[in-house]
Amino acid sequence: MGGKMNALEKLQLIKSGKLKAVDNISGFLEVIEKDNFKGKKINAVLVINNNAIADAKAVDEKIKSGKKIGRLGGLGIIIKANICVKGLECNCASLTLKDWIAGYNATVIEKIKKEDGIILGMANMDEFACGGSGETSAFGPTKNPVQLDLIPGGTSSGSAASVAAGFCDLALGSDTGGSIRNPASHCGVVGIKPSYGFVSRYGLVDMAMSFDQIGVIGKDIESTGLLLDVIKGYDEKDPTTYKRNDIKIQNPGKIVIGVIKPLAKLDVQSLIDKKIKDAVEKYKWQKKEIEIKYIDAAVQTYYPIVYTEVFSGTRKFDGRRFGKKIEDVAGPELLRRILGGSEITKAEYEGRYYKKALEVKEIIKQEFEKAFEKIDCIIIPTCPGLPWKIGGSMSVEEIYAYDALTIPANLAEICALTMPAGKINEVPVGLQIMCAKGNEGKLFSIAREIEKL
Amino acid sequence: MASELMWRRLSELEKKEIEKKAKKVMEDFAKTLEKLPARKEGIVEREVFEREENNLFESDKDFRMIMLENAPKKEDNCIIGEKGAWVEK
Repeated sequence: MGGKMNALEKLQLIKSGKLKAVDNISGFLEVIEKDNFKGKKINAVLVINNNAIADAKAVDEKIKSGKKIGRLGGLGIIIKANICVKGLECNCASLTLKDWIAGYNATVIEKIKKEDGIILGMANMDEFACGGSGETSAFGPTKNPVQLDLIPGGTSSGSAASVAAGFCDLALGSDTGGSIRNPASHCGVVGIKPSYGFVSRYGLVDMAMSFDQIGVIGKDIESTGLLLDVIKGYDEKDPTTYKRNDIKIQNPGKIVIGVIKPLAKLDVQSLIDKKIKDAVEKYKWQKKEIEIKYIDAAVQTYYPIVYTEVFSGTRKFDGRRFGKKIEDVAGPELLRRILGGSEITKAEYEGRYYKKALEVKEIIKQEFEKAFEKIDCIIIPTCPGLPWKIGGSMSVEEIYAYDALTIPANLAEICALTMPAGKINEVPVGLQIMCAKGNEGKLFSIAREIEKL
Repeated sequence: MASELMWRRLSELEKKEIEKKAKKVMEDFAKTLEKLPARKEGIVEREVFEREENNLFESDKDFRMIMLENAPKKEDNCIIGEKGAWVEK
């Protein structure tokens, strides 16, 4: 039953009894066995939930007995390995947390279970969400299902690859500087980073608390919106969250699109420009060139904050309560952030790195707020280029610069979504739409119109 | 040049190189930031920043059992943390 069907269409079949939830789930488990662990060895899934079939049977029983089933009834969902699912190994793709079993459910998992979604397993990722290519996992890189020798992007590499490979209906990832949008773009699927505070992070192993958000990866706009709507909202366990209205995907009316000077390689930018042109012509939308001051310094603003918060957040992994001491078993990128964070948080540097970066972040956030007074959305490429070959030679500076188009949304705390814009040499290219903080409904509505082009 | 991303076990020499590189990257970034304006509104510096522990969110009965199973060293109902073992030597 795999991944051919839209999740919403499948939901209707399950609710009507034409498709059994157990067949949906067992179909996914077969494909995972065939292409993840054997065959193509995509390595997107690290852990299988052995209760998935039993959970699906319970949904079928509910339907059979005429009980109302939840909004995700029988859909198969894969979870990034930094989100706690009680009883499953939540290893953050690290040796530090290898064999660590989560003792409780993250709030997003409680919400999914309440709506009868089925957790299929835990997805591979960059180690502790440090990376950007899907190569830094201690359990081996994830392959891009579209072209197996290419990186899938990261850090939610396994979540995006799982959706693209047909291992699940939907997946959860986390996005700190583009970690949902980047892999979704490279794998040719849809990915949403919600506004800061839109989704509870209780039960997420943090990477950088100033930016982390849990979001959704799916094959199409409406299914992705459905899962985000389920997991959104205020949670007393995460004080950054706030109450939100339901996400309504509807005709967005006349839209003013903000465009920024070309930011990506020529061929990538051309694809995005063509989509904008088509939308303007078909829907009579307007296009307006805008300038976001200091956006060129987004990378330099982001990393000092991230280094500091990675250092701070990993102090608990000292080898006492869980697994191994992190500095002893970390890979290069995670260790770089820990050691760099340790250095720049020394008292002698007070104000030079973390505090200064936070102050510049506020300026960039304000620049976006000013821009959204005149426009409805900003459309730019998701990534500046195409994915490289796994194991390719990239310097640290090149890798960090690759996040330049996704980081601004995290700095500004706004919502941003990537969706397929087309292909170059059979490799998917993502189009990124950004809307003001809390405007997820408008974001999905605009995206659905573009999806129809 | 080998990939600077791929996970691998690191030698002490590599760790030193990584530390040097991290410092250089941060130094370069700080130079860019120095030239930019800053906005202090929205940043709150708290004098009192330690939260009070309470029992607001009680875990279920399995939590303690799973937590103990996760611990590398334990005895009966206690996790053993050897004094000083986690400190940098």
